[in-house]
Amino acid sequence: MGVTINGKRELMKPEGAEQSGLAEDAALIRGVAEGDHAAFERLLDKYRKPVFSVALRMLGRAEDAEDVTQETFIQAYRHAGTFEGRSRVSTWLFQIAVNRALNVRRRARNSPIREMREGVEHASPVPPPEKPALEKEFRGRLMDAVAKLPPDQAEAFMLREIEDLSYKEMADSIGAPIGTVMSRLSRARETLRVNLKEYME
Amino acid sequence: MNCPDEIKLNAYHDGELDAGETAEVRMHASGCADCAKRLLAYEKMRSAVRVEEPLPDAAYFDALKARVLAEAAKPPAEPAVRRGRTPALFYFAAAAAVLILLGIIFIIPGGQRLNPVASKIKPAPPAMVGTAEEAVPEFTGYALPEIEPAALDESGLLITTETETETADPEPFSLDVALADMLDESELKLSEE
Repeated sequence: MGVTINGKRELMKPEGAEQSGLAEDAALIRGVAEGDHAAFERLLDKYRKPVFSVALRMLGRAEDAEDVTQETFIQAYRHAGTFEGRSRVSTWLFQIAVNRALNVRRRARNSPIREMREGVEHASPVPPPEKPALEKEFRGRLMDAVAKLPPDQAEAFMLREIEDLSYKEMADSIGAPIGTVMSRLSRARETLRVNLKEYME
Repeated sequence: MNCPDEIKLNAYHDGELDAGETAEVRMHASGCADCAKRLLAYEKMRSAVRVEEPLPDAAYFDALKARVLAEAAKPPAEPAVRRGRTPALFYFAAAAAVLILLGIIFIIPGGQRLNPVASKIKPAPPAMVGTAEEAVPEFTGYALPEIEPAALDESGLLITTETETETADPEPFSLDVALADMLDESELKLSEE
């Protein structure tokens, strides 16, 4: 599973995935819908790391990422019959994971414990953070800002950036016209840019 | 070229424009600080989302898989409240209504007008002679009426047949009357003290 910042289709490539993987995924999800336990295990083997990785980047804590990964696969297992094949199976799984992770962030945003912890961290006299720490802090702020977006904009932004989907693929998986997808995406990015302007200089 | 609108600038950033439009926007952005700043911000956000965190080892993912499989083997949890069934609130409301009704019948002083047993209790006539202070009626206790043997059923409970002497035509319940009776009774108690 390699990551190339500006690369196409290499971002969330699962272990051993090939071009024929799309057909295999479709067969797996059909098997899961029919109660094939082995098909579910195969799906789990193939996508547990990519799904966990997305959740970890969105939440920053392995415990939270693990919960989201578990919930994602359980939801996929119980609702495999609702998969319509409009999108790739990986997109469908990431869509579930992204929405669950956004919910976790929204709940955490309203948690007084988190506010208190952040307040303590900001108040403590620590030396200025190194560059990786700054990047991590920016990602945390970015994810908080994404969680505050309208859900349809947040989903469009995350699917585009995580899976590098084309506008056509996004429209298919979201079930909306391409124009709507473009509009959601541009509004999301502009809102984020304005809300995070102190990090953009 | 004027600044492209946000949608076009985003499409450029996402590689969704054709070659001609791409070249056009690229040339514009190279000389426009505002568009260049926006594109830089978009790229910064993309990088932040795409940079991966180090992942745990294989044993961690094996344990995660085992947990997911164990969870999947469980039956789905029943929803807490099913639609279409009578809500519990309905039963609470019904029970509360019954309790209030019983309270009105048996607890409110003066309720003897609704209570067949109490309606047969005859207060003793107060002595109404002497000065104004002495006019406070002296409490002499309640006199229970004699109950005809025929008015008792086999289990000893009172049969609510009308008697010839009292309550042949009971007055309908009135809150004003009930309150007046309450006042009368409290005066009686005070006079005892």
